[in-house]
Amino acid sequence: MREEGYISPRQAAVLLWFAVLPTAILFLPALLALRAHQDAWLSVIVATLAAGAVALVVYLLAQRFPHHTLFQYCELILGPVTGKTVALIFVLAFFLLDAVVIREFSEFLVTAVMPETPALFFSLSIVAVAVYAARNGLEVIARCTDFILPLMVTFIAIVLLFATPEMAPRNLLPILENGFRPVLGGALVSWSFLGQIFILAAYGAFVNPPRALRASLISGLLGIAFFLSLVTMGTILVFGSCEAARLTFAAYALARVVSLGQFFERIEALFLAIWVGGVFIKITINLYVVALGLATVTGLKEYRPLVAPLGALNVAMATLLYRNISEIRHDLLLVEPGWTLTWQLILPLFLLVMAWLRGKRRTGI
Amino acid sequence: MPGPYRKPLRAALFRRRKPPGQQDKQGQSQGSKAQKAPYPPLEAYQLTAELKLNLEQLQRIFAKCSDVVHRDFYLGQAIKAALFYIDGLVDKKLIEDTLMRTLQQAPPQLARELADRTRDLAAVMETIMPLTDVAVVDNMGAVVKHVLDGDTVLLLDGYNKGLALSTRSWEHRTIDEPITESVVRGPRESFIESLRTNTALLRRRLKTPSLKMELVCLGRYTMTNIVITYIEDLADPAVVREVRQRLERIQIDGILESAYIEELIEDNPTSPFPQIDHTERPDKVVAALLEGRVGILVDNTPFALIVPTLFVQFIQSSEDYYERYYLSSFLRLARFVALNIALLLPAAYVAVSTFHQEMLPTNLLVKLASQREGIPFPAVVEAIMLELTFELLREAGVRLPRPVGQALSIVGALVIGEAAVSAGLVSPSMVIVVALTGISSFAIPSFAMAITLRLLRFIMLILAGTLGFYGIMLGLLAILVHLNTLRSFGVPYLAPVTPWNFSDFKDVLVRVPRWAMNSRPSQIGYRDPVRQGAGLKPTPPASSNPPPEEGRS
Repeated sequence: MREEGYISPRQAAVLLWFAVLPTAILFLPALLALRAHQDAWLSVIVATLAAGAVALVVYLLAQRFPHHTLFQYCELILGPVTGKTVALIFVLAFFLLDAVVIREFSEFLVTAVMPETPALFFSLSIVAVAVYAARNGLEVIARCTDFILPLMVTFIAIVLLFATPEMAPRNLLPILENGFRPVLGGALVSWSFLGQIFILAAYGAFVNPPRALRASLISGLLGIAFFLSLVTMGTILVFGSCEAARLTFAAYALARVVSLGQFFERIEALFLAIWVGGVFIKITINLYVVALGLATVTGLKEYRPLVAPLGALNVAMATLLYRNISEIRHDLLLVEPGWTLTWQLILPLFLLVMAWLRGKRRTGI
Repeated sequence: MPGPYRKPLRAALFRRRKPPGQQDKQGQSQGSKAQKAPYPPLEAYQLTAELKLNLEQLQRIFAKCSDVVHRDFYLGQAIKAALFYIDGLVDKKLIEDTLMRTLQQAPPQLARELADRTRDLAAVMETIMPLTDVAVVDNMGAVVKHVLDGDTVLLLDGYNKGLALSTRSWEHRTIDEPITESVVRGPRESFIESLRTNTALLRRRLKTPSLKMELVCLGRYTMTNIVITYIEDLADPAVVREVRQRLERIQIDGILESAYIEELIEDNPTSPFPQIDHTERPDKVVAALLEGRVGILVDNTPFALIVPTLFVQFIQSSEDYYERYYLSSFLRLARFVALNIALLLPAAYVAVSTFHQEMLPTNLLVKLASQREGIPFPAVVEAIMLELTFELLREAGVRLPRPVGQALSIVGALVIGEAAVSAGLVSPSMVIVVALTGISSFAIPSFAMAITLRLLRFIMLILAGTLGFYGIMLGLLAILVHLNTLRSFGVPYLAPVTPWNFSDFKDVLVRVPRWAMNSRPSQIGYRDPVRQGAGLKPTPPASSNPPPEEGRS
């Protein structure tokens, strides 16, 4: 099945940023501060190296099967039955990921902004818009990022710049106080976010020209690592690791402390607005990939009819997944790393090895 | 030739026309079983060599048309001839002084010679025809069309063809100043309701044979002439073809304004956003043609359509290109801000005052809260009420004659500005917000875009009143996605912002100086991207008195 649109390598990289950063910026700094204390930014760098492995696997697979999505080459590598099963596992994994993101999103809004509105309402409303966007295809999603990205980058820059008066370099010291173990623990946590760059395997087939995929993978990963470590470092510089670990939404708290001349202050509503835009892209791209994957597995010509039902299911799943925000934190801290390691690294690696052993490749299409 | 002319059924008029090639094939496959349509079109009636028959047919067609003039006479006292024209659409002076006199007073010798020997219309034209713009017609359809277009049709006895003489001339408005797009500096001409004048206005500015003007006739009853105009070397042939195809698709009884066409050829007909720009300024159309766009001129309307249209065109004004570029760029940015204010300000105010009070500095918050004290409505209801009043005032102001309109604006200003506030029904700050919004929506050069934003403003208001900033963001995201799905004749609506093209940014938020506008918009004028010579930036000439050489001072 083919998508009619193509995206440029730059858009692919930016989509990759949006597929990881929005939730990572909000949740990760606090979790990292909990695990790695003042060395949290080091964990991000270590996790980036690990995510590089995913990028490599994605790249090698894409090279073997240019113009094929993840779900298509699953079947090419493993044959119709096993291939479809593995592809279905990927579809389910993306589906779950999307549900988690939706839940994180609505939980944040309920906790931080509008405590009296039911979380279900937030999930429903954002997924409604996401369904509208996902139905319009990858090209439209990619073009939306062109507007949200400048806002997001500017906002991060403004927050970090204007938070400098509050920053205390002392908070970063001593480096590697407890050796490498906490850093590795933190890396495992941030890995579960960074590994999401695996999503490029699903939509990388629509990057034009295909050989630029490597550039978009590298720039995507480096950009993510850059922003993530910057925000993490900023959080810890401002709050210190103990305080940061207690904040659930550290980046949001960071936006709260920004103040400039008694006028430019309390910009967390702005943070909310821009962050909603970012998460919207993340939810949309995941929903798109789920629908695309399911359409491929079931052999449908069009993924569009699947988007709305999958969106509805996603909302239901998001509601069922957790009981409260601390369960999400627990999950992100303890469960997600192992799960993401399985389906974002080990399973693709298995695919790659199988493709290599069975000598499968499709080139020159 | 089919029998006497019969009026076709109404249903038969709108039967889907098949492309001619297809019809031929069908005819061949059916072979000898020639099916005669029950109501042959007028084109099927060929003119005969007998003038009397032709006149009978024509009189039947034009029965009870009191404005049709039919005049029999003898050409050079030898050939029986008849003139058909419509009173009011023709230049009567030309017909009476030149045409009739020349034809009637033609030398009988020559006329007899023509009648006896050649029987060739070309000879008639060569020898005695005083007019230049003459077309040969051979069927009733063409005759009727020419007569209705204001031509004079000359039928001669013994010739199975007629002559359509261009004598069009009718009352129309003189070329005026553009009303909706007035400028301080720049040409003051605007289109008028006469198509020919409009094409002349374009041709006067583009003296090149590359400027093409294809004629399409639409509207079963109005028979409106429509001109597709483009510069052949610059316009994308695919776009031109698409325009032509979309126009030819239209089957409609009448076209009274270019808006009829606009709605029938849009890419996304359900979108609230205008996807086709319209203007009454010839210079704007020419600028668009020079960028490689296609213009559509419609008879009987002073508005020309321009395709493909991008979103940025709605914040561009033709004056931007006539004033200094610093000012133009500043005004562009101001208009962009106005666009956002027109869409978002009331919504943002409602969101802040209802949900996000913490965003405001304390002093401001106290001020606002004290103003809102005692107001019996929630902020969103207050905002919607005031906005509605404002819309009503504006609508009433459009309808009323000017002197009454002024009275209305005084009443409106008093009622809204003073009485409502002092009665404690609305807060003064809300009045400021609504007024600012109104001003901003007038600052957008395009009325079409302004009314779209006016509608969307209400939706944003309701979203903001129920969900605060989150609601505004949801609305904005939906609008963003929608705008990204739009295309105008294949060109993405939001180009060049997305798909990103840096060189096209020279004309989006700022207007760079003329000497830096070296290329046409990449999505539209890509066939010939180079617009002007390189290095046009003026530099002062080398000084006329060179610096004194060393040691000679």
